[in-house]
Amino acid sequence: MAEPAAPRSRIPLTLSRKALLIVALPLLFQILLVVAFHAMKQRYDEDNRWHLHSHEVMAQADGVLRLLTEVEAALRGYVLTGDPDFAKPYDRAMREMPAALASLQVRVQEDPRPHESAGRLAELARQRLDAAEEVFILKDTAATEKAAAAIRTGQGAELMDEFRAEMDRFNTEEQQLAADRRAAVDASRVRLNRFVLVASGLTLLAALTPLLLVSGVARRVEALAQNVRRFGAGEPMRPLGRGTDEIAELDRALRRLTEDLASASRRLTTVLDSMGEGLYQIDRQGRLVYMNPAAERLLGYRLDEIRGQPMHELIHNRAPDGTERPAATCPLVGVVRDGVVQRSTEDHFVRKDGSLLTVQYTSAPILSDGRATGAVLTFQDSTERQRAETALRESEATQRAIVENMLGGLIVTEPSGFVELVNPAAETIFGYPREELVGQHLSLLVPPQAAPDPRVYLKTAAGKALGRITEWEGRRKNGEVFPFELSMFEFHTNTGRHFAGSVRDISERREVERLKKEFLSTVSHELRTPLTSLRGSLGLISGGVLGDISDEAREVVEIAERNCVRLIGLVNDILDLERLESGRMELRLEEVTLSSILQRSAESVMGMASAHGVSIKVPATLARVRGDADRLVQVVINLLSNAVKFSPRDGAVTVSALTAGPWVEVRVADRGRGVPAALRDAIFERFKQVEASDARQKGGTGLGLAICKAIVEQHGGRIGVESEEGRGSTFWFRVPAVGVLTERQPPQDVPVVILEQRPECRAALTMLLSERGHPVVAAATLAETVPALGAHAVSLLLLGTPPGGLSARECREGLRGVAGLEPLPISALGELSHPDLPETLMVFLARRSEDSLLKALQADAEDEGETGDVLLVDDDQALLGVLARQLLQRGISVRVATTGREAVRRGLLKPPRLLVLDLGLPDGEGSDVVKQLQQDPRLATLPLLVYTGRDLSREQEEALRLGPTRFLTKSRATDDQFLALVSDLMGSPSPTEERA
Amino acid sequence: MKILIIDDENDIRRIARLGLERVGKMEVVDAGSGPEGVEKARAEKPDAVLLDVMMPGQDGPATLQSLRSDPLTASIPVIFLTAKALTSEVERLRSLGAAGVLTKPFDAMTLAAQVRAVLEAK
Repeated sequence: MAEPAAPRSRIPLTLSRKALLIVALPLLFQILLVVAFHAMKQRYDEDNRWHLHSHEVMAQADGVLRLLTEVEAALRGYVLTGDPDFAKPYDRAMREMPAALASLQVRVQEDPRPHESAGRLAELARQRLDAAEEVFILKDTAATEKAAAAIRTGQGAELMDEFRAEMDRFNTEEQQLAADRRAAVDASRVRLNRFVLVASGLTLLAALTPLLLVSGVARRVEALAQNVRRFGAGEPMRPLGRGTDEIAELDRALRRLTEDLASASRRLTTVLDSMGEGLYQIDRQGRLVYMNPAAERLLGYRLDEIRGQPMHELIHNRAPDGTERPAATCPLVGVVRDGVVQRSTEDHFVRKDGSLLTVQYTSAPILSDGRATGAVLTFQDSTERQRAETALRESEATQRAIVENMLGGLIVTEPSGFVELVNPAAETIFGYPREELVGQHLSLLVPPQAAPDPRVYLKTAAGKALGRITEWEGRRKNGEVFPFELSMFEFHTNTGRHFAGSVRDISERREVERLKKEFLSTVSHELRTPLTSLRGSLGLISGGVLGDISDEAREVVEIAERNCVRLIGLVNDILDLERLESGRMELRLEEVTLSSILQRSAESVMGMASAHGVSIKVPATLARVRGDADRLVQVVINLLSNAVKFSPRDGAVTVSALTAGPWVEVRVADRGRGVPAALRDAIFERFKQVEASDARQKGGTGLGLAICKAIVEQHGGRIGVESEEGRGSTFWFRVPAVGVLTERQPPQDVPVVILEQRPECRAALTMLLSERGHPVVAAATLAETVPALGAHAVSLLLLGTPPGGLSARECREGLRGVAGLEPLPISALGELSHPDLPETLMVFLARRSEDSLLKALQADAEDEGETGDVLLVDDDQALLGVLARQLLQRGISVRVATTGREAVRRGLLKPPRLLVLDLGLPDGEGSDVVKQLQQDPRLATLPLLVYTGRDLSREQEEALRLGPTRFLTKSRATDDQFLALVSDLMGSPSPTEERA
Repeated sequence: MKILIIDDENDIRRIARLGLERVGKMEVVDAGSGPEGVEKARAEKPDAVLLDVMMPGQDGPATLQSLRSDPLTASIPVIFLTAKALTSEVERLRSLGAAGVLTKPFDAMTLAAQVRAVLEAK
């Protein structure tokens, strides 16, 4: 709210200042007047004085004249008469003259105006006097004649005339002066009079100013008072105008006050209006003075309806049951009467419509000088609150009932382990009554092995048990140690953190488990024993060992045997599954190559597969897994046999493997009848087969997949099936992988180009290499290869099945021409010689590339286990290629080495069936190789074909023997001869010497 | 080759005998209990003993102990026959000093071969 602006540029004119002005100004004025008057009066006086002075001077001058005249007269008289009586005035005059002159002088001198005349007068007077004196003297001295003469001469008269003339002049002057001065005096007087008049007028006026000021103030005070009155009456106030004095201040303050009051009033009203609580005010008689809207709402009355009515009688005189509640006993009435505050959490008011309102209220007296002049009551509808309270109580009761009645034991402790709550079930379990547990530390319940420090034990246990279901041992009151299952959790309330455990005594369960375990082992023995006899007997009969039997008998026995086997299988499966599911199947986890698992499984199933006319394709893979090899084989066999069973004749079951993150996924795909969507999860359950007749037709116990699932899940993996009805199924499972990459990283930046016509070969090769971290570019035709070669700094190209009908040689020439790539022999990499790799693999290595790649590839081969029937050793890589190809074409697997050391190493690692050695290895290594190999008993009998560029002497030949040894001279050998020797050496164990 | 079969089950002894004799062409003696087996072993000095694990009274391992403690029979290779095929069980039995472990039910037709394989591997 804006205040009337006080002018800031001037000095604020407060009332006191105004008062000061009112007094000071006139005073000042008066003083000034007085001063002026005084000044004027002084002037007047002055003028008057001078005026008088002039007259005085004249008088004085007259005096002098008179004296002179007297002197003259006296002198004459004396002189003439000689009467001494004339001498007396003469003496007297002569005596007085100086004084008179002097005083005339003085007087004249006082006058600021020039006084030459006066001076002359004086002079003349003196002269006359002198003259008179002379005369006198003359007379005195009896020179009367002289004296008389003197008089007669009239010097004196001249002088007197001069003097008189001068006197006249002087007097004229003086008179003029006197006249002037008189005028001045008159003027002064007039001025003075005028001044007095004016001054009086002004003084009168001045006297009016205070009047004005005072009236102004009075007016404004009156206006202020009016404003106050107006405010009191609720009317708007009039502005007071600008001003800087206390009244303006007062006005502003008043305004502020009024605004504050107004806003306070508004706030109060707002509060009262928006309160959710009802509020009403009663006077000393209990009559309603004011009620806020909420009260109106709650009670159903409007304020103007019941203002002035006694509230008790209106809303509070009836109890809920209808009985009267007299005012005398009503505590609310007592508020006013006794001046005390009353509160209630549950009471009832009667609404306008007669219905009851449950309330809680507070009532306080309005006090004035210690006496109550009324009361204010606030109340709220506590129906909700009561409902809530009731609900809460009920809920608490329910929860308590739950806790009390639940079968499981419940113990709640605070964080340091002191028991806060136990339920009856817990009491029963531990054998302590509630009172003996609550407030005690949990250490009371720990088993003996928790000693010496139960608290530490508990703390560790808590760490393991929190948030899980775990099993522990506890001690009952009677000392008995027993096992229990604990579900431990924590929770927070506003009293803090709590730990709680649900406890279940599992002694019985343990017992049951123990019995079950015993049962299993008993059963396994009990079931298997008769089965042994059964199977054995039937086997013997059907094996024909016990004599001939008729065909029919045989057939029947075979039926029995088959079913016996099936029964055995079932028993095994059940026991397996039981163990698996209860987690007691012990898996021997180790690193195994997936390949070995797949191969073993495939081999196992091969017989059955070919019986069904179904082929199985197993991929090449370098993946390794962590698992129990036998169990995993069991899984794969299971999946494969299922796949075979449900594949159509001449169909194929395809196995694939891929790495997905930390897992290896094995997929077995068939083109059988598929699994309907609804059954995809169910088939992994026990005894579930897709069709009920399956068990009969296809065999199988229905447990196979359940067992697979259990095994896979025991490995931490998962199993599942993707299938479309009628379109085949792909069963997959995942198990943990072991790192595929070995420590030795191949050069990553060398892309390998694969030229292979057949897509499955391409895929297999690509996978092989990518698993090893080599970037791969796969091409199907020569045409595709060329740009690939151009685009990358290819060092290696793998040529599988030559594309498009070209011969291997044509390819070779083509590639050599294009990219300067030279072919190198690479052995079929042992384990990987299987359907999906091409029969021959020609490796082209750019001459310019590093040896390291070749070494790496060679080394790779080592990892997979040395296989390869023939070990070719030659430093001439081109020749190696030629030889290798020749052998490969004949289905003979080869390994290569380009140095003697390498040859020895590989030979020792796994002895080949035949060693083909170039004697001309650098540094005489060729013969070294033989010498070293001769040391090893395993290799000393190795068939050896020595390839040499020169003829050898007999002694040399002798020295170079291992097992059966042949010699071939390079220049003279033909391919055919070479091959013949190789097959010879590989075929027969007996050595035959032959020179070629 | 002479094999001693120790098993408390008649039928199993019979089947095993037939399998070993008729298919494996071996000579067979048998005993129905641990103690009897030990005696027979002393008397007959077989080349190998097929020993059932679960027998009442003196069970397989105890019988093995017995055999080993007697210098006459200590060196005879013993092959356990067990219905429990658990790897741990097999290893346990092996660790007791058996030459091998065969599981039941066995195939009478191949029993002899299996026995031979175990002995040869030794």
